[in-house]
Amino acid sequence: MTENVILLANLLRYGGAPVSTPEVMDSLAALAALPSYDLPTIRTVLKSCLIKDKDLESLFERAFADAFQHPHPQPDEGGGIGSAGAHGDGGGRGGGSGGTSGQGGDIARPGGEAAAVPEYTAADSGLLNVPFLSAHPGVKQQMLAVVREVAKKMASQKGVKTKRGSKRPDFRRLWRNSLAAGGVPLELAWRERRENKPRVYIICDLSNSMYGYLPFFLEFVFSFAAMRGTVRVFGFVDVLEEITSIIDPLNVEKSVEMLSARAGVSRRGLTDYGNAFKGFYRKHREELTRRTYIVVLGDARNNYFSAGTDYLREFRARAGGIYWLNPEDEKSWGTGDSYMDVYAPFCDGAFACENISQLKKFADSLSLG
Amino acid sequence: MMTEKTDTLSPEGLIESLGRHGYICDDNIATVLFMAEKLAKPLLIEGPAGVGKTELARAYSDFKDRRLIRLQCYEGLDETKAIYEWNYKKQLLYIQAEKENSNWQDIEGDIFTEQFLLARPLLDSITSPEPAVLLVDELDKVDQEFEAMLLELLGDWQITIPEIGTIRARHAPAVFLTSNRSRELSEALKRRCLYLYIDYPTAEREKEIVLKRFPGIEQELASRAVQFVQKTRSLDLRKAPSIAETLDWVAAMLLGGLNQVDRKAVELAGSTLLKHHHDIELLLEKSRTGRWFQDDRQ
Repeated sequence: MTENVILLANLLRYGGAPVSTPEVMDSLAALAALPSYDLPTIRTVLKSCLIKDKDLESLFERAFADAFQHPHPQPDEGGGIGSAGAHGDGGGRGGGSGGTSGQGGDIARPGGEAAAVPEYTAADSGLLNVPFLSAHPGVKQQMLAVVREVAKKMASQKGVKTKRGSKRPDFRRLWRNSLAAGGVPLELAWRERRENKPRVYIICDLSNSMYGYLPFFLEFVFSFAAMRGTVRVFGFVDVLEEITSIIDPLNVEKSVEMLSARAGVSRRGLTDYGNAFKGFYRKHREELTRRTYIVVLGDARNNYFSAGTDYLREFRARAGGIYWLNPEDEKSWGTGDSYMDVYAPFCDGAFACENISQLKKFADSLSLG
Repeated sequence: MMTEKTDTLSPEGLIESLGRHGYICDDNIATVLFMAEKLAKPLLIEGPAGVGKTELARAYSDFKDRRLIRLQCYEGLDETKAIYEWNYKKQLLYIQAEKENSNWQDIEGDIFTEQFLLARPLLDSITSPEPAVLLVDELDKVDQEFEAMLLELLGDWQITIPEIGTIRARHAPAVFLTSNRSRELSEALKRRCLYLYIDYPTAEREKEIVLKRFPGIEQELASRAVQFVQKTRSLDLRKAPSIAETLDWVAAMLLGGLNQVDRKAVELAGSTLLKHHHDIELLLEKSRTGRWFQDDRQ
């Protein structure tokens, strides 16, 4: 029984559930206190001891089935690092129950089966890997909450990072101060560090294919960047227009719904990135500085219109950086009317961004300012 | 008490005893509650509003015949309201009374002692002479700092007061924490608790609850009403009806002399079962078009 519980704990950790050693000990103590050993009771007890989150329940069910329903699986030869670690764990505490071969087989599972790895990590490690576009309305609010939390966490981390840097003397003030002492610089003057507040310009594709995706990304940007800098949002289908004022940072989801009712971004109704970039170039190129970052949000499906890469090159020369977030998988970039392969070389970074963990990856690689 | 000992020998015994105190629980709830009691661990209960999280703690304290100490959480709750507070007025009076015949060192030593301490729910629960039941309700409403203050209590059954020292629990209280999942609780807190998720009850359990509460009700009506509520919950509602609201609705039906779930009953549901205008409209519309009534069933 002890091995099964430890195996279960390892499987759960594998799947991303935070299971601590005291919790494993609790569950063993709980099992010892049980008056009867039937599988449903054991499952209930272990669940209440090891899993403290409703969202992880399905992960638990699968891990439990693996750890308890097959007490003697075939020993796996290809045990990797994972199985070695698990073996150490289990061997140390393993009681006398179960034959030696069964024990070895049990414990080799987490690392041994290559197929088991994606099964545990992909489907159920919370909401991180749920694709934005297929998010169920019920889960959506929760996912937005996760996005907000991730963004805030990152904003505070980034803040620490940018505080570093050496002091620089301010010669003008140094000189002026020294005059009072007859030209002897008694008092040193340092240049005041400007607070690092990057401006983020977001250019987003408002065509229908993007709607499911926008709330998440905008939520992220408004929680993340709005803490550290200024955000302006521009939307387009084929004509670019500033939509910053329409978006309420406190209720991004509703704002995005309202966007759809708005004219002014669409003339023909076919997505045209080239024209949008042209519009941005005409109206806003003067505002671009080294401290301005452009984030383009779109699937780059340009309906075979002209790409407008010249404008993109111009932006790159003026702005601090251009990043492109594409809700499509990298595999489909450049297929059909996707111009992503054309645009990617002009960006400092192009990311596929289908779910929260990919969004996280993007933010990790960012260095705003 | 003899009965108490036999009652808690098994989860089944727990189901029965809680049943006698007006709480119908399923195997899952009973097993986890039983475990929490055995291991003397706090029990963290999550679930939608109105599925009987608080009620479970109440029934348990009833059954154990222990005092229920309840801490209702809200935003801005702080330690002076939750753990302890110095009885400032009493301290002042004491200082005035001792004015003539004492020096400051003595007074200072005197006024920071237990007799000047006002015990708030958390301190109360561990200093109580008999074992108590502590219910920390809607823990998700408070901020993370407050959660951190709970850790010492939940992990070690003790509270540290800087001026006095550490107060250990005479008897570890049975602790129930409830949360509506409006916010994720911290890992540190979860680690110290057993976890129980209570969902909306199954039709059988809900029917049992209705029968328990209204012993005179007809079986037929009870199951029809419960079926109706279960169907209502499957709609896309802002707020699904809770058990308490089911009971309200059934009570209203009985008062109105209705003995079947008909149009009148649905109208009543509009004011007892659902509390959002949008939800009520939806229900009325659905029940008008769908086959929702007993008399439409042929």
